[in-house]
Amino acid sequence: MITRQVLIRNLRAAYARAYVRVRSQFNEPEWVVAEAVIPLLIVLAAATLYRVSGSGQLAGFAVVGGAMMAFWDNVLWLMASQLYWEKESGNLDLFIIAPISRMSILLGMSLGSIINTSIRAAIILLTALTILKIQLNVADPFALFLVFALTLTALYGLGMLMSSLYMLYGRGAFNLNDVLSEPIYLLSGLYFPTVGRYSPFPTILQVLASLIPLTFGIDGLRRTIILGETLESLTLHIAVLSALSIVLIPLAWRTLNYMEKLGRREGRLSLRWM
Amino acid sequence: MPASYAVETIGLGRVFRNRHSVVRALENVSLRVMRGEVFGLLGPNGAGKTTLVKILTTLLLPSSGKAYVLGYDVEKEANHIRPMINLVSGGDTPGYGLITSRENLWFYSQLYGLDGRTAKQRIEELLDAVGLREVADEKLRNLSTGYRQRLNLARGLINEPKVLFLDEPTIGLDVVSARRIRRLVKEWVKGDGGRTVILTSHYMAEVEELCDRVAVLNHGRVLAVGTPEELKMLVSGKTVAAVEAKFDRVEEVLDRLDAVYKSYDPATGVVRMRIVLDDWSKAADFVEKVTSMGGKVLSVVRSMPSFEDVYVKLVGGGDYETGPDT
Repeated sequence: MITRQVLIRNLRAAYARAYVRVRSQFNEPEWVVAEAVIPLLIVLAAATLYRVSGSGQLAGFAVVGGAMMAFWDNVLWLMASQLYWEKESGNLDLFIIAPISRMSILLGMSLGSIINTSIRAAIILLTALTILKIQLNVADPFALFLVFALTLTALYGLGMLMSSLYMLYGRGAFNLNDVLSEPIYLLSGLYFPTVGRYSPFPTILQVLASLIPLTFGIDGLRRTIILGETLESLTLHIAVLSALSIVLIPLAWRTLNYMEKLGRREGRLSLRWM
Repeated sequence: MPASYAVETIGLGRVFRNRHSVVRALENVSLRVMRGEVFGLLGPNGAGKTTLVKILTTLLLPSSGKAYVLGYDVEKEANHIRPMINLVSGGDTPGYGLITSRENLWFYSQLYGLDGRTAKQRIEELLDAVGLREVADEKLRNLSTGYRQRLNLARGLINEPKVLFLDEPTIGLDVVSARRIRRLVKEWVKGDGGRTVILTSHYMAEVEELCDRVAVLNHGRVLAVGTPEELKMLVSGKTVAAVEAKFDRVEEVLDRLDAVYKSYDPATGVVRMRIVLDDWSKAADFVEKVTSMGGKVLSVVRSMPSFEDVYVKLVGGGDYETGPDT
C-alpha cells in the first residue's frame, strides 16, 4: 500500500531528477542550439522541397514533423539509455538502495527531458516558420494542447519502457537504437503524413505505424496547427494516444520491476561484484 | 524479526553463472555484526567482499542462506532496509557533473524524502563536516578525486543511515585525503552509539585503525573473524623476515613466490618480501631459496609480526614452510 509519506518521497525524487536534467542543460545552454541545428536543416530541406513542388501545406507538415523529431531523438538517444548511463556512473546502485520507486526517477527524467526538448522543439518550429513563412491555422488551442500532451505522455511512456529494457542490456541495446531510428522517422510521419488521406502507405502499414505514439501525435498536431481542425475531428487521435499512454506507462512500470528483480538475481545491476 | 544485530548472515552463498563458467563468489558465510561496531571485511581481489556488501545493501540476491540487516531479510524486506542504510563505494563518482556539489547533495537528499528545511540544514552540516565548503558551489566535474570522494561520503551520510557500507572508500586517494576520510568515519561512528559501519578494504592499516572486528575472506569463504588484536594472536610467537632483493627476471620470480607477501618497486628494481616464520633459523632457508632463484639479497631484517602478516598468513598461502612454494 502506498502511504502519503511514500508518495511524497517519490514525488520529491521525481522533482529532483527533473531539476537535475533541466539545471544541467541551463548550465550548458550551447547544447540546446547545437542539438537543434541538424533537425532544423532537415526540416528546411524537406519543407523547401515540398514548397518547390507546389505544396505549401506539406511544407508546414514537414515543419511540425521536424519539431517533433527533437522529442523522438530525445526519447531514443537520451531517455532510453539513461539508466544504462546511470549504471556506468554508479548512480543506479544508489537509486536502487534508496527507498523510492525507480519509476519516480524515470518520471523525473521524462519531465526534465520534456522541458529541455520543448525549448529545442520551439527553436526549430519558430525558426522554420519564420524562414519559410508558413501560415498557421490554429482553430482549437485546447485540441492542440490535448494532442500535444497525450503525444508526449505516450512517447515518454515508450521512453520509460525502453529505459527499463536498456537498464540491463546497455551497450548492446544501442545497436537497436540505430536500427529503430530511421524506420521510425519514416513510419511515424516525420517527413510526410503516414496515416489518413495523405498517407502513401497501405492500410496494414498505417495500422502498424499507429502503434508508434509519434504517428498519431504528429498527424494530430498537423491537423490542429496547419489544417485548423477541431476536437470533433480528432477523436480517433485522442483515443489512440490515450490507449497507448494507458498501455505503455504501466507496461514500463512492470518491466522496470521485472528487470530490477532479474538484475538482482543475476547480478547485472552493478558494474563491480567481487 | 527483532533487530539484535546490525547485520547477520547465516550460511550465505552467491554463485555467478554464465555460459562459460560458474563462480562461487560467497560460500557458507555466517557473520554477526553488533550495532555500533565498525566491522571490516578484508581480503584480496575476488575474495567476495563486494559481493557480500551488494547483498547486504539489497543490490543482489543471495543464491543460498539468509542475510538480515537490522533484523530485516534482504530478500523479502528490502523496503524496510533501504531507508536505514547507505553505501559509499570508492572509485565510483556518482552524481551529475554539470551541477554543483551542493545541488548534488540536495538531489540525493530528495531520494530519501527530506523536506526542504531539513535537507538544507543537513547539507550545510555535511559540507562543513567533510570539508567541502570551499567547493560547495563548484560543478562536480571540476572537482579533484579527493573532493569527489569526500562528496561521495557526504552523500552516503545524507539520510543519517543506521548502517553505512563503505566499499574501499579510500581507493585511489592520496595519503592526506585517505586519512581525512578515515577521520570522518571515526567521528561519524562516535556521534551516535547505534551507528554501524561495514568497511571493505585492501589496506591493512586502514582496517586496523578503524575496525573493532574484522572478517578475513578469501575465495568467498570466511577464514577468520576477530578483533585485530585477536587475529594477531594467530602469529604470536612467530617472527617475520623482511627481505629485499633484486632479480634478473622479476616477473617470473614474483609468480613463483606466491606464498610470500611481496612488493616490487620498478624504479629501483627492488623486490620487498615479508614472510612469517616459526623461528628465525628458517630465515636462512628462505634467503637460500631467493638466491637459488637468481636473486641478489640486499638486506634481511627481523621484525615482529604485524596485522599485515596475519593477513598474509591467512590469505597468502600460509607460512614459508607450509606454503605451496616449498
